[in-house]
Amino acid sequence: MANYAMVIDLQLCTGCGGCIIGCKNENNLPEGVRWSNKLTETLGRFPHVRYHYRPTLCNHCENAPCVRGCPTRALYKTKDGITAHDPDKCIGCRYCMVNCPYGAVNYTWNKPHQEWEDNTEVIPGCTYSPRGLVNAVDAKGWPIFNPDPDVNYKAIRPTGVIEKCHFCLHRVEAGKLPYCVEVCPSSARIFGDLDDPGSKVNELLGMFRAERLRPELGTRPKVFYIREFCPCAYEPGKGMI
Amino acid sequence: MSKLWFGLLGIGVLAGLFAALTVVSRGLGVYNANDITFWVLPMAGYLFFALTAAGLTLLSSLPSVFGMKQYYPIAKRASILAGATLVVGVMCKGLDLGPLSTLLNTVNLALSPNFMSPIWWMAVLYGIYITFVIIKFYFIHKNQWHSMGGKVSGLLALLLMFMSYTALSIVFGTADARPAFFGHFTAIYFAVTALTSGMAVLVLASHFHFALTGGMPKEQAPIFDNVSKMFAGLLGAALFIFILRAVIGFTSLQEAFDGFRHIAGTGMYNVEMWVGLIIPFIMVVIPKVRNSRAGIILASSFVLVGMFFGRLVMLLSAQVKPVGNLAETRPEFVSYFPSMYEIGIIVLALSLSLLIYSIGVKYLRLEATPE
Repeated sequence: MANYAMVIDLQLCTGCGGCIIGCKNENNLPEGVRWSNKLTETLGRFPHVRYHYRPTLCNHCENAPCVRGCPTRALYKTKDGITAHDPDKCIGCRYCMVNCPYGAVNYTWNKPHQEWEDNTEVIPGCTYSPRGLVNAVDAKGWPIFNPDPDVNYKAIRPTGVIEKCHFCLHRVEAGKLPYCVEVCPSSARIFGDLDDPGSKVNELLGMFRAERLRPELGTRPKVFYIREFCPCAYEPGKGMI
Repeated sequence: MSKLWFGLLGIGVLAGLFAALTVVSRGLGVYNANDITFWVLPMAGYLFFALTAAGLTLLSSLPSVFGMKQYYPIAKRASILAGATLVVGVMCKGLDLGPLSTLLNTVNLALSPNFMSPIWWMAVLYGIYITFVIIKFYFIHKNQWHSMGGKVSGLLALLLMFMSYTALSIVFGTADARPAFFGHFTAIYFAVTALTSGMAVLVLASHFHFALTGGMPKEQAPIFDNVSKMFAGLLGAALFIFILRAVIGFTSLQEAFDGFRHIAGTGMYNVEMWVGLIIPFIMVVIPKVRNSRAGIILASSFVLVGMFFGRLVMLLSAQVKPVGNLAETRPEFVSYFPSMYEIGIIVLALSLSLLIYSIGVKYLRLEATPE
């Protein structure tokens, strides 16, 4: 049994959004849904302006309010501490969306990837229609369908249930890294076992002061942020009146 | 009752059924809901009808459980109204879950229960509550008010009302991520407004019935004089709770209350305040207006309209300000206007509850008292 967590090194993160795209591809996310997301903030006054970028995802809280509130245990903790979801048990009540302080839960309002069911060819007789393209590549739902999450989730979640990040449970159980970790070009995401004293996440948490989102709520998130990219320096002084 | 009335209700039910069947076949995508505002008009309908039913259940228990025998003439009417509003309330919640595939998953409430979940308790308790409200009405209708079955079902209906109402309050009260649901204050807010809306329904239904049947029986005049005074008192209490909630909402430093402050500047909040509370309160404290049939009918109608908007105000206050990373690329506050399917669900609920009540008026002698 492990206790998986993620450390995001903000000094290494370039804000490219590769994690967002990678997650969408790996988990066949419908339009408008992001399990991997971001929080941005612009501070200062021109010309002294700074843009802050923080990648986000489900925090896989140790004390997960979504799991506590789910009436049918559709949201549950795996033996490795990952907050996972079973769509076959989900009654669509959306209480998890009420309880999640991070906005990490989405509901499938419409049939996922329904825009790919359109039979209209952009240039008649020349290009594929969206449905034609899906059929031509023998895919399900959308042209870049990835069947891998079917192992322990539904590769495409049905209409009327919630869906959320599960740390790519299908990959983790196969001994691989979550896909957002895999695709990060600057290796800003570090995934590992909090219960393993020698893990990279523990090495980093022992080295840097880590920050978690909204700790005051007592959810005990397992996504930690360390450092911040800052090439700046300033002349020391006591300010002004 | 005229054929025209039943015809109108039939049209309402059919239009509503169209909306309901669309939701069941296509899912909640037909609502103007999204990941920001996800509990919208049908959920407001659930709160409105379910809480009204709680108030009515208490009122129908006044003579049989609390021994206030002078209120027997209102008990049967309150009982059927409690059943009607409860049935449509639960229906609204059902139509707020998802398409048929999702509705079938509700079997997991029994197969995979989570006893830590307030929603689980709410679903189970409301399921049992609805059963006992129906059984209670059955015994009342059979004139077995004081039989063992009548007493037990009456007592259990009341107890389950308190329990399910408590579970509903906890659903909102423990949502730490959304303080604009007003946390544990919700319990007192729900209690007072549930009683007020229940009383408003009873007053409206009774006086409307008297208006159609040629007047109130003389022996019932003192009862309804008391009922009107109780109604005024409850409205005063509801207004006090409303002001208290506004003070909390406006003075809190928590950013989460920005949503409440935003909603407080909209028309729906003003409808809740003016139409639902201030105007009817002024009306019912004036004895001349309170004792006139038109005055009390108008006041109770206003209260119900305002209370319905109040339920939506409560829901949207905690949702219009996007939470966490959902705030990215979105405005500080999102807007919401119901789709025709959402309105259709409310039309269905309203028509169905009125139909049940109208059938009761026509065939079930709702003014009956124990012989």
